[in-house]
Amino acid sequence: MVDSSLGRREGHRRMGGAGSEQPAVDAPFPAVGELAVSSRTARIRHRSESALEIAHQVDGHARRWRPRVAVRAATCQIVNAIATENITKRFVAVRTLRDLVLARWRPRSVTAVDKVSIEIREGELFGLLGENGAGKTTLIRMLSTTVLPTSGRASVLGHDVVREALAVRRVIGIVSGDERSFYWRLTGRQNLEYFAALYHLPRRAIRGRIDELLDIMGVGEVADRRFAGYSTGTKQRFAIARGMLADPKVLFLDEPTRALDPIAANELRQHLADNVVGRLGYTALLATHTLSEAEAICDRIAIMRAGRVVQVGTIEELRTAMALSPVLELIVSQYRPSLYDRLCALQGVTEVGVADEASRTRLHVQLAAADRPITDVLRTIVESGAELHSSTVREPTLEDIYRQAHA
Amino acid sequence: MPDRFASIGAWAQVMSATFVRDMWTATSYRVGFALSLGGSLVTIVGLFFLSKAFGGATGQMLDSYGGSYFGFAVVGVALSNLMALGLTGMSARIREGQMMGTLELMLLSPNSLGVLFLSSSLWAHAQAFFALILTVVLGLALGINLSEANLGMTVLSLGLAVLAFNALGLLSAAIVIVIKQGNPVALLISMASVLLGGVLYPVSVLPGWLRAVGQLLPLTQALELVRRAALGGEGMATLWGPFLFLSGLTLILLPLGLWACQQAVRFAQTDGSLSQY
Repeated sequence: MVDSSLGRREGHRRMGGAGSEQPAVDAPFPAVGELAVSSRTARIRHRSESALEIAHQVDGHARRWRPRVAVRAATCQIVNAIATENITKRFVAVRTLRDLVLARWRPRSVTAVDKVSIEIREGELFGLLGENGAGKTTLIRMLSTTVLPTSGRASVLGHDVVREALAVRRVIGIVSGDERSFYWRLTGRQNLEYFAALYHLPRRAIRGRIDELLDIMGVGEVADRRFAGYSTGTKQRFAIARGMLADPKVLFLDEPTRALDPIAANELRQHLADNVVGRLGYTALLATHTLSEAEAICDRIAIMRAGRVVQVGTIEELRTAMALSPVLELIVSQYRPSLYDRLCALQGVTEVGVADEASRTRLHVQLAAADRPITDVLRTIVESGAELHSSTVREPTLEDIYRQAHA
Repeated sequence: MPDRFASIGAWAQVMSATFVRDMWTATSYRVGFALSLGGSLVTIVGLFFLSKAFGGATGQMLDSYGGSYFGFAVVGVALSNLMALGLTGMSARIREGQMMGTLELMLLSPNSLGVLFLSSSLWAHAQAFFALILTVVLGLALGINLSEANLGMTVLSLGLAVLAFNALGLLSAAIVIVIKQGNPVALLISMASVLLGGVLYPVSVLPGWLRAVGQLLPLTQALELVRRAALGGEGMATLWGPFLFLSGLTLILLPLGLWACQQAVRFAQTDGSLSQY
């Protein structure tokens, strides 16, 4: 369940010792980046350097809204930012006329989240992956205190989401993919000023904080235009800026790229990974059903299905846990249907996919973990009379893992 | 003590930010903003002519209210407008928040429900008071006699009335959080207040049992207080009865309204309908 690279990062955070009085600048962050070996090594290094830089700023009495990371660096404690234990949410289904006619007095319930137990560490970008209705949004709503769980427990930075809801609200920010939730007659800046006041940011700090966030999100130039006139991508950037206004320790992102075109979505993703999590070190829980998004930016992923978490881990861990071996991607011409049966019959082949592409056919051959009969596959194709144009062996992607988890 | 000051400062910050937000929004609808101010003034002119036509027929029924039907009716309409605002101001803002998706975000902020809800109708109250001042100025120009007015008692009564109306407003807001559209509480109280509160006629014309029911309404007590203080010049020495009654009613309704709102939000959190409309 724990990412090996994360383990290394944390191991180094421990070096300062909990409650250490070492000045923030002496915290052993640089080594953390050096030892990180996941696919996001560069980002982790960036994040640690940023923490060090911010610690310097705080030591030198820099701006008010930056101390959070420095505090974390100084104390070097490893805390679960989010922890849930068998958290469950059942909604009571609306009674229909049919229920009344058939005298069904007992209310029916729908289980949206079913005994979910996850742990998310500080500074982690954690992905919640699942199809529509899998329970991602309900889980986020429970963690952000807007929906009460039916049973189980959950905490954010040690605060119980039911008993200490106000304390939870002080440390979280929420970003949803919903375009609503802003005052469209006001400008983007006026909106942020209002929400900053709701979070009791000191009056003198509000303008500076907003300018800083507008700069980070790249929307400073349009901030004084009416919100109604923004493009969907700009609105979404304002939503993220709002989520970060009070410098929350944990950020919940519920399908933030849902309404965006591919280019805008990619830019936003990059912003999230590089700036929000990478540079500023937020802990982020990202709910998405876009596999490439989760694969590109998340440290770890939980795959949800029908309210349950079916798999948790880094992509590497998921591959291992699900015993997914490499995939052989082949492009052939003169494909005959009998080839499919012959490939399926080969020992060591677990799945064969066929997709027609213009005059050629793409074959997707999943190989068993222990056995990689690549030669057998290639020979079978040639013997069938098909012409082989290209063959690639690739590691299973998140899509393969996801498909397997939903099989 | 510093904590208390800090939280008072935080409340003030939320209230002023909400006020500014609503002011920006309202003034962005320029025509609507101008019409909302002009509308109440037209009513006053209408009441002036009604008073000229039938004002003489009231006999001695209005003696304790200064004797003039015009003054009586203007105070009645002005206060019923304030009541309508108190009763529906918050629930309208909450409904707007449900539709716009801002309610959930507001409730996610680290603020108490009371501060969030009460501050949401501040701008509407400011507008209403501005309209009230215009009404008084126009009324004076059209002949209302306020020379005998007990100003202190009038202001105190108005403040108490606004508090009582907003306490009812909290109950109405709680209903909107749960059932979203349609507000039977506000409808019932508004109808009962207009019929039994003595807005356009003194409650003495009502049958005894209806008059008794009417006495339970905050508007009835508020009208009695404001009219007798502003038009009759009476003070606490003679008005302590309705003043205590309205204070007692407010002291019951205010915590009840806050409790109802908390329960409503809890219901919506359980039901998962906080962000629905």
